[in-house]
Amino acid sequence: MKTQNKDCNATIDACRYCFMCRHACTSGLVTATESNTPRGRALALFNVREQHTAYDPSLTETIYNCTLCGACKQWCEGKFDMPALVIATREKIASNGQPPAWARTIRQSLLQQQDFSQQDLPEKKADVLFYLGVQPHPRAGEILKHFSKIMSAAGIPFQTFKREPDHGKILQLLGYVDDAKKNASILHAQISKTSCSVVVTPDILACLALKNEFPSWGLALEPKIKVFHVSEYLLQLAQQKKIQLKKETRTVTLADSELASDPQGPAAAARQLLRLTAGDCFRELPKPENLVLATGEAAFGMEVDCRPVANLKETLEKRIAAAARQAGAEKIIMLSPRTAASPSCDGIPRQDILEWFAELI
Amino acid sequence: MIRSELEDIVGPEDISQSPVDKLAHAVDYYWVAELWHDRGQKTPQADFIVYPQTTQEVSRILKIANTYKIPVTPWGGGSGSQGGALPVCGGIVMDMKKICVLHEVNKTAMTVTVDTGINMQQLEWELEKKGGSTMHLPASITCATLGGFIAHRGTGVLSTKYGKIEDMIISMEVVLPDGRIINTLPVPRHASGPDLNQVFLGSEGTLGVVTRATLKIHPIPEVRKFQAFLFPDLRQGLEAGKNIMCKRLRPCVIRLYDEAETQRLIKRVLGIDRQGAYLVFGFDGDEDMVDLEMKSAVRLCDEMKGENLGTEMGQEWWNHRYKFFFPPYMFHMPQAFGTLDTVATFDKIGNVYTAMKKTIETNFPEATYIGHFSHWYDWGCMLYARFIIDNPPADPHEALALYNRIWNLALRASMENGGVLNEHHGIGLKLGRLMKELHGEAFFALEAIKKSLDPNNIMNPGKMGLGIN
Ligand SMILES: Cc1cc2nc3c(=O)[nH]c(=O)nc-3n(C[C@H](O)[C@H](O)[C@H](O)COP(=O)(O)OP(=O)(O)OC[C@H]3O[C@@H](n4cnc5c(N)ncnc54)[C@H](O)[C@@H]3O)c2cc1C
Ligand code: SF4
Ligand code: SF4
Repeated sequence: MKTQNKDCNATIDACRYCFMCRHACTSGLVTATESNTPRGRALALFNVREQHTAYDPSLTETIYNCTLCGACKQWCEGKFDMPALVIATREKIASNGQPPAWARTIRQSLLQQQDFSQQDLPEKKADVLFYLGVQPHPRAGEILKHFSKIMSAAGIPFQTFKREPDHGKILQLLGYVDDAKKNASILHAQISKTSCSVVVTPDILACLALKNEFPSWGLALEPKIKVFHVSEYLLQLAQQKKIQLKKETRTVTLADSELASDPQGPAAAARQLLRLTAGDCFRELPKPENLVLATGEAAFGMEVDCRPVANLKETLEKRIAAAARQAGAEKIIMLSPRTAASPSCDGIPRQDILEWFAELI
Repeated sequence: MIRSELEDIVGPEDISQSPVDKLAHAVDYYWVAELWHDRGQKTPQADFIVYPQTTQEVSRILKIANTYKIPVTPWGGGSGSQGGALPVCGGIVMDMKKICVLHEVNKTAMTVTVDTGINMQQLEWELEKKGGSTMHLPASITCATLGGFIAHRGTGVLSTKYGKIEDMIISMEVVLPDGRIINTLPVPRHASGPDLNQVFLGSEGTLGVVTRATLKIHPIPEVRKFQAFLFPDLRQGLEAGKNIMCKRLRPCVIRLYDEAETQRLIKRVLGIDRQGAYLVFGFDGDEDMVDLEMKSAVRLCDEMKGENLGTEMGQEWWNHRYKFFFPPYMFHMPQAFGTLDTVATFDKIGNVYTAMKKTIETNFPEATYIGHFSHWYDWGCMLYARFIIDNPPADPHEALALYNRIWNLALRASMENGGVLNEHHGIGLKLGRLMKELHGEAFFALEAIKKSLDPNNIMNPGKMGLGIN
């Protein structure tokens, strides 16, 4: 199993001599082990690449313990892309059917519902399609209610699936690319049947899949269809003064998404939206730790609770909460309902940006 | 049976025999370990990796190891460059990273008490939140543990003012090879017998495991300012640095790069493309004091005919000080390289530099020699010299033989001229063979301490020239 990808090889070759991002590595810090750091992974992958050793369950575990948070890449002077290497390696592992049991369970659950039909399509047609993208979610009903409240205040009709197909991003992150494409093609077909021109999703993973992976998998949506993360869409509504908002009076902060750090992307829109509505009450998380905070989009995206890494969720939450406390924030706004599934983060209230916005109406 | 006894202490999650963990603890920052890994040779592996979480657990593990005479190698961050953390005799690798509690920040005494497995950068961030700093800021701050620095007598970029780790330690808790837990006296300055701190500082895990330490902390200075100079000749720069120190100014940093390193690294990392020797210095503290000292240091550099490059060129260096150590700026495989850091008094350090340079350039024309002088004292300074070979032999045994030859000759040249084997990276596996040559009869005292504290030689055998029995 040779890793052929040129960039991946560069990462293996550089990282295996370097320790310089260890302090930032989420999985390394949480597990306090050498093998769960970029260097530990690269050391082992070098041996596999050079055919000194083969994959074994302990290497597989290490590769799947990576949260894909990207803190290493942020910190690395060479900007080596460890998350990309991890995903590429997972693809190889998955193509041989060797991922850990918890990953196989997630795959099963995401592949279960593939028989989508006309009956699952929205009842009424509208330009805007709201795609939740996080099914099953304990608060799916509430999320939809929040979006309805916003849209009726703005006087914009929208449609939503009766039953949503999966977008494939989680499968892709777990290395199951073929399965990911299969699920994505179902979603693609269902979206095409709605004749919408705007897709709005509150989920970062769904948003990334629709914007980035779909085109690269040959599943680009029709050019007339624009995809927005809710923060981007809500920012437009606010800027166009389509809705009246109350001023936020509590101090709030934004937990960036490690998967959406693109300066033009959802996090940037969310930040602008928070500044617009909260003004002086908006607080940035302090640096330099902010650089190394994994807010958990990637990790939670893969159902962090299923992972055998003890305390991963708690540790991520504690780090975010400590930074928020330092910033003097009373509330943490998350970019996606997936990372705000429970209403508090180590004692500090948190909301996803959609729910927060709806409360201001 | 051993596994179940160890498991009984740390629990099943904190012991590993997995191939990936064994591999991760079989390659540290020692070039030879990396070479071995690169060329598919088997690197020395432990039988068990254990992750104790408390001093008590360390003590119980050592009791078992001592009973069965199992080698124990403490492992901090594995960033040591001397092979010190490699389990050359197998047995137990004791990974210290789970012993990492910050116990107390005492703002009255300006001290911090902390477990030694803590990552140095994480400790600094915690202290920063409280308005303090250990001022121990080495290039490996992100990857090494406090225990590793204690074990190797490490040094940070601000050592010229704030000292090396051995100057920062107030007291320590150590677990001896038989499992006994001891504490050194609560203060490091006294007349109540020899200072035990200094026995364990630099002992590289051969005398026991340091589990907790109390260190000085400092307030964050009001300002920290830098200035850069370019000297046409390295000797003039050395003289300027010496004059700053002998005038008893208190710079936090002086770093003087030789002409070769100025061309090779300063150009690449900072973009300063000039012939000559680049010198940067800095002062920190209250602004008016800093300005006064700065003025005085500038005058001393002017007197030695340095060209003033200004504050910006100095600040740039500070901003990028860690960049030198990241790929692609740092040397790495297939290059062979070594850091010949040594220290000598001002009257000798120039000769040490020249002697090592001559030795390497004459005997090994394939090698490049570069160096800088950092970590300055009232009486002398440290030379951070390096050799680099871009294309060492492909055969690992040949490459190793060449590598060791360079070390032997270069360090003998250093010792003959008043240098020592090492200043802040330690001895480890790499330089053990030269310890007797360095210490002479005095090595007997080190051996005697080792024998009495660790008669079964379970602690990090094969390191510091203390033998394997
Ligand atoms: C990129 C880079 C830059 C570096 N820059 C610097 C620098 O600026 N200054 C500097 O001083 N060093 C530097 N080093 C070297 C290295 O970081 C130091 O030697 C550091 O002290 C090693 O710490 P560690 O925690 O990684 O220890 P390890 O490498 O894991 O272990 C080193 C030795 O300490 C022993 N040990 C570890 N913990 C304990 C303990 N708790 N009790 C007893 N023994 C213990 C080990 O057995 C071993 O002998 C650099 C290294 C790298 C990779
Ligand atoms: S990602 Fe960069 S900093 Fe981290 S180990 Fe790799 S090369 Fe070093
Ligand atoms: S992506 Fe995050 S968890 Fe994975 S290696 Fe990088 S820092 Fe560690």
